[in-house]
Amino acid sequence: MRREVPIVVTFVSGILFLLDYFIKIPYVSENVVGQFLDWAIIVAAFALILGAANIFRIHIYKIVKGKKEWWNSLILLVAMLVMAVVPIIWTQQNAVYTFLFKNIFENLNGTMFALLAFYIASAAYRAFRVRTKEAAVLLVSAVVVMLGATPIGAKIWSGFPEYSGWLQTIFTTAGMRGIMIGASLGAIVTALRTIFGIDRSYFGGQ
Amino acid sequence: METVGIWIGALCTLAIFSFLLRENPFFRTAEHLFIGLAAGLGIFYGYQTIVSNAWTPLFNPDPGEARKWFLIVPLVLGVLLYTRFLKKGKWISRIPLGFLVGVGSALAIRGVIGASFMSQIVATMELPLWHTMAKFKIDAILFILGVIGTLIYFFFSREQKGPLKVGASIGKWVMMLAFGAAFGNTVMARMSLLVGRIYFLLGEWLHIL
Amino acid sequence: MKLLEILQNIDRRIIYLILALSIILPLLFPIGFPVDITQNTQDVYDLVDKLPAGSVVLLSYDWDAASAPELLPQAEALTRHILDKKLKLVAIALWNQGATFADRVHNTVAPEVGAVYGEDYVNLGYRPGQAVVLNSLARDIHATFPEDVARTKTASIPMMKDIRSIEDIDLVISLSAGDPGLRTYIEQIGAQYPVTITGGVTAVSVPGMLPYLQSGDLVGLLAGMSGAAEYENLIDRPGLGLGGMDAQSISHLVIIAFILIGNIAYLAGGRKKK
Repeated sequence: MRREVPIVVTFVSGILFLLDYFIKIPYVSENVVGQFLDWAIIVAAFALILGAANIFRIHIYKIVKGKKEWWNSLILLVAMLVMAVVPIIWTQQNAVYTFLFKNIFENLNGTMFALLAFYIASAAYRAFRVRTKEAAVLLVSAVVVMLGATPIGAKIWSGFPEYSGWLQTIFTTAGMRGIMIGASLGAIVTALRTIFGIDRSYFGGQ
Repeated sequence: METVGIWIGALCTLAIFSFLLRENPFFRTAEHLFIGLAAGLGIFYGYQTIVSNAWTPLFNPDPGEARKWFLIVPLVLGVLLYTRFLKKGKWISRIPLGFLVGVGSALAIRGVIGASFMSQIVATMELPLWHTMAKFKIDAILFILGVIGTLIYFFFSREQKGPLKVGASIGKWVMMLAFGAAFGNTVMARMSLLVGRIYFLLGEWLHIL
Repeated sequence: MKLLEILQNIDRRIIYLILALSIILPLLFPIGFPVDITQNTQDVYDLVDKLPAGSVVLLSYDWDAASAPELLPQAEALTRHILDKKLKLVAIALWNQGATFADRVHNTVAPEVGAVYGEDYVNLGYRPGQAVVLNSLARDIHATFPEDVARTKTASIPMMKDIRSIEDIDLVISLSAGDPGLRTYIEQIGAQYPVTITGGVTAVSVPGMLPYLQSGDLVGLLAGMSGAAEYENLIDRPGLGLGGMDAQSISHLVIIAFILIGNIAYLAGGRKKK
């Protein structure tokens, strides 16, 4: 029961959508598939809240136990509640929500990722070494693309945008297509294994 | 109020940038604040979807609209997801999870098969050999060799010797060019993010732009 | 030899400082390099430009604040072009932050071009489910998005009366910072329905999109901040994209310089030591 029911549910919903792709089954394709799509969006919405519920559990525990820097957990929970409750009551066009989003959330999120600019500069200096012929090719290609994509490249040599375009149209596209075809086969096999209950890792181990 | 907001934004920005010097309490607080807000946003959109797509059509349909009784099923399935917090009933959460995974896997196959698999093969086969794609007449030949070479590079069913070895070698060089270009593109993206942040600090906060 | 040693051991904070300066200085003292239009950007522009007035464009916000410097200017330029051409704009989001950015873009652009909410454009917001959402909206937009972001019933919004499924959409544009995003649209919508898919992505995602461009599954592509700058040029409205291009140029030179310095020091001295 514990094993079979989830596997059967996965199989039935998976097979239904696969069949629907290749043949339109009368009535089922019209009604059931559309119904299942509506359902999946709603279940996914519950899953979205589930993630927050997990975070809530962890940080409530930290506060109650008075763990190190528990006040950070308190800040986290207050932020979470305000960010959820305000738009729930007054929609996302409310002034308080807009204020929090624009001034706090957006700046934090944006800066978090802007840090990567510094790390990539540091890595370019420290790690991008021409140790092999392969690395040399990689380096040349990177430099041409970097110069080709910005206005200054064309100022230095009009060939940069041209050769950067050539490099990307021919070699990047070819390499990426090869990888894409291979990865697609992999994705299809993995999905089929999941639908047929061979791969059950998404159940969280067993 | 706008000035206050910009000052708060600048403080948040600087708190995160302070990580560049070393890990510090300001960064940790900003990090917690960020996770809290992101999770709050998740709750809001989850709730909003449940109300608009399930609760209202089921319990408060517009006058003249039929009540959608079937929507009771996803509401129950959604609640069942939370049995994962129970000790004994944990397995029940696998039923709604199985539903999502089943639909998701099937849609993944449907999507990949058309555009990312068949269409890519067909587009390669349809290319005329002697054809300028960007700059030279031999572009198409280089391109096709590149695709096939890359595929051979990942072909492990037989020992790579003879023609397979040549193919794999072509594939390797093509991928090096591709990864170099990918690195260049990554630098470009990262710099844009920093430009955005500095634009905010200098322009909106300090008003010196 | 002393110089080589210094070059080999530059402190990371100095690297950070030089990089920051390479962006700050061009922003303070703009150089104004001319921006050339690439074919991919031109293709996106032409798709929008050639639609007859009244055509419906679906613009999907599939990104978050982390990619705003690249995709917000793209969204603004595209929205301006779309509303200016008197096309109908339906905005949705596959990433939850996208819905808020859509509001912001609309608030900036709509008053300038005199567009009216509910008649010329609408923001239906975000729904979770990724590929599921796209398959669902292709069948029935009203069932997928029963309400817009202000909780108005979609069915009661004037322009949405005739926009019910993917068949009523003339062009799909996804601005995307990863999955779900442009790739999801190509796979789930483009491969199954006869609607043209175009879009804009962060520069990181460009290589992954190139095969679809060649195969014709994707028509036109805006690439990162430079894509936005080119589009701003095409509609003759300089904005955030063009403003950042000088800084982008100089910072690239600095990165290349770092790579070269690292290698010169390595080839001349470091290699022998190790």
